[in-house]
Amino acid sequence: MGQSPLELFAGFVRSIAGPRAVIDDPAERQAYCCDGLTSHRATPGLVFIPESREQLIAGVRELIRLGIPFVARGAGTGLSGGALPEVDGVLVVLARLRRIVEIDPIARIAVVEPGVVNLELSQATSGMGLLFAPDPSSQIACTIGGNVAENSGGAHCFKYGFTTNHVLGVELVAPTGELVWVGGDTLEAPGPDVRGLLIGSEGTLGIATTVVCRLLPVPEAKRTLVAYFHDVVAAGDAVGRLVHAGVVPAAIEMMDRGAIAACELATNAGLELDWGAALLVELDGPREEVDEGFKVVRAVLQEAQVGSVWEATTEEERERMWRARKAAFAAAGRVAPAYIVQDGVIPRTALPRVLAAMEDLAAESGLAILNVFHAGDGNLHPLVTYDPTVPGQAALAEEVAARILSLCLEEGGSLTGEHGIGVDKVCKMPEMFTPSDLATFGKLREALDPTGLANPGKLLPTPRLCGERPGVYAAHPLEEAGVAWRW
Amino acid sequence: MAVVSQADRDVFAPRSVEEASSLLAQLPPDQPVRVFGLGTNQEPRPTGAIRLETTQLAWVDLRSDDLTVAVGAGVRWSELARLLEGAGLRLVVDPVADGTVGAMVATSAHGLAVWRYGGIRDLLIGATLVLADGTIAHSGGHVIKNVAGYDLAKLACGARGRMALVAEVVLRAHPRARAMQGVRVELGPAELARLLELLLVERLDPVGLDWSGAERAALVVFEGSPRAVIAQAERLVGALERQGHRAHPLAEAELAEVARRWASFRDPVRGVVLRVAVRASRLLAWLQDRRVDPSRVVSYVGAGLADVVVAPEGLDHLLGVEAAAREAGARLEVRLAREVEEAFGVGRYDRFEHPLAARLQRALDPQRRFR
Repeated sequence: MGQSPLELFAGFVRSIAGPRAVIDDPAERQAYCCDGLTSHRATPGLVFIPESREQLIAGVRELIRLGIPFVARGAGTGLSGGALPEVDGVLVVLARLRRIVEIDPIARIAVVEPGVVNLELSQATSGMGLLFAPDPSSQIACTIGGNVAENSGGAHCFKYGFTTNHVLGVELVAPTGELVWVGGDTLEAPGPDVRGLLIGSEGTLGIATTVVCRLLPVPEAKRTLVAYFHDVVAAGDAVGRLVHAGVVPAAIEMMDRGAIAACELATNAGLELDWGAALLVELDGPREEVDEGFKVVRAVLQEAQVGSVWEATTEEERERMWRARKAAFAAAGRVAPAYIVQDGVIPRTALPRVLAAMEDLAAESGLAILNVFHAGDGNLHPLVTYDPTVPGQAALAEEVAARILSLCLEEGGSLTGEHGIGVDKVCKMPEMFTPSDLATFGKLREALDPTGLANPGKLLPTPRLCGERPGVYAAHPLEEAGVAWRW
Repeated sequence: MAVVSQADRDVFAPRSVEEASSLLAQLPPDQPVRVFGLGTNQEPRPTGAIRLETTQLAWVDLRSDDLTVAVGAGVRWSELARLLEGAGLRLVVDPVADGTVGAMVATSAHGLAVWRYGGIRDLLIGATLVLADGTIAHSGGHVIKNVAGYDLAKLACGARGRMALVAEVVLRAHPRARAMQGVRVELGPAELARLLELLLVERLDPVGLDWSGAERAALVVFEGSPRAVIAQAERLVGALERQGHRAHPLAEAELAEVARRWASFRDPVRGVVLRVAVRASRLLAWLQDRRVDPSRVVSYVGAGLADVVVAPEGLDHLLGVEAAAREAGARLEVRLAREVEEAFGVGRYDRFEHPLAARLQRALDPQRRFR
């Protein structure tokens, strides 16, 4: 009997990259069965872990030659199942491609391999007074390649924008096997913006082999405060006033009563618990600008009837504020046995209506919903809590989470602000896009991936995929093995 | 139905996305179409092409509290800017010349603030395109943050109308800057690297940096609160003077005057503007190449962009410029060509020579109707 395509591929990889580049043992493959979205699982047919750009390119070309579907994965921190493997395909893990190839402080760019961890890039450039601006919550683990795939944002994107504004060029191995550059190392490039199409395409249009990152100056000063309000509507009003005053904070994060309690319980940061909402506001930039802007912020908050203000006077205090905010997802685990993290976007002015509707949803369903969100840009992250031991509650939580997305769409918003479509929301796509929109997306995908091998089943709905029902929360295999956990 | 001009029966000016769609759907498959705004599209017009004017696609839906504006492709950029100004907002792109919103997208417009804010591509948060066969396709919308689906808006950026008709776009607006302040420093190309280093060392954060070879001067622009911009400008002037440079601050009106003068240099009545895009550190070396006459160059130095402006009589100079730029690894584009022979026109470098761009164009416009 002849060898299967996967066996042929494994042999090819061993011949060019040695045994460490392939994982075919079923138990070891199992560890890669999901990304951060643990409700969807599939054990990959094979795992390929290249150690060099050349191995990656040769491997992908061989996959294409053999007609094997492939899925790229960075650190596996994605929350939409964008790196969910194919059982009869190959998972291409980029985590060993961690070289920062070059830093050019005059041009303010860094050339990196796709497996470089987001935070490590900023750490490497900080001595030169530069940083990489996109800062998703997972920045201690997530990779630049993953950021490119998802067009990642973060808490500071109200001021600084998203990955698409900070990645100038990408070398990719296309699903046809061609090695091409899109964009370059300048802030503008001649011709249609193919780079803009590629960034955020969730690995469906190719795999990045090299990335040119734009670097910004490390802000000279940062000032941060937490402002407390009686309710989220009052806090939302304050956000509107801040924007009107011409201040562009680096971050405006909002937490509701439930989220404040959960974050405080998890971190003991010192948040006041007797308020209905809290805003974390941060200004950064040249010292004079921050000091002047902070005066405006304080004045605007007073006009907006702020209840109490906690201003960070030391870097330690500032870090504590952020630790509390960034712990929000994990902290939900302290107040509920399980939860679903939702990611939707609304026009900022729709905030009061959507929050009121979510309160109604919580009351109807009997499930608590905690709200943390990037208030400046209307990106909501409701945490729908439930108890998996109560029959039917997990399914109810799924339903509530889906209803929240529908609310976002009814307000002219989006299915996702930063987590991506992946497999998680692929069946909601027809709610947001018309058939001709989806057909156009399909044409573009087919133009670059005519054989449909790159991350199949993600981003665009298919009848097969959307006839199936997603699963509910389950522990990650690493959690089950006791080597990683959520808190 | 689309409107047929009385003056020219080959001119159509649809008043809505649906009319544009219907027009394109009814045309014979091999009928070439030239998208036309206020006449800034300089791609060679194919023989027998009908003219699809965007000027009737002229609506504005400003949502000032959401910091977004949806706008028809035919709206004049300067009119949109004035409308936003009235609402205390602005578009941070400051193109060197006026035109329709569609033209700004088609030419990937940008200006002095490109170093901080990028170009129009960085403000585009949504688009409605009409494909060659009349299909209407949307992406994005009135939300600043959105990663659902492919970003069609970006693909139309810089395509000079050859990918699809851009019927409407949604742009991100910013609060109006409370104050602006400039610093003018006299220096030649050899000293620009030191200026870039100095800005980093002094931890200053300007929104723009422009350099004019004709004036042998750089313009550094700050924006923010009134006191803060003055303080930053003073800090920079002090640091430059300590290094022996002649520098002086420019108040808002003076700054606007210099910016206008340098913008008009980039928009000559006659001649060619050749764009050289190359990593900033290599651009500095290219500026000192003996084949490059610095007096014809203006450059957004930090962004890695330089424009070489030559009159129709001086086109030969471009050959040396081009050779030096190629050696530096630059990409080239003719941004503008007026009263010059076609060989030096905007078709000199094929924007669709990139294999993926060409394939995407074929997918959206298989008959190559938009030429």
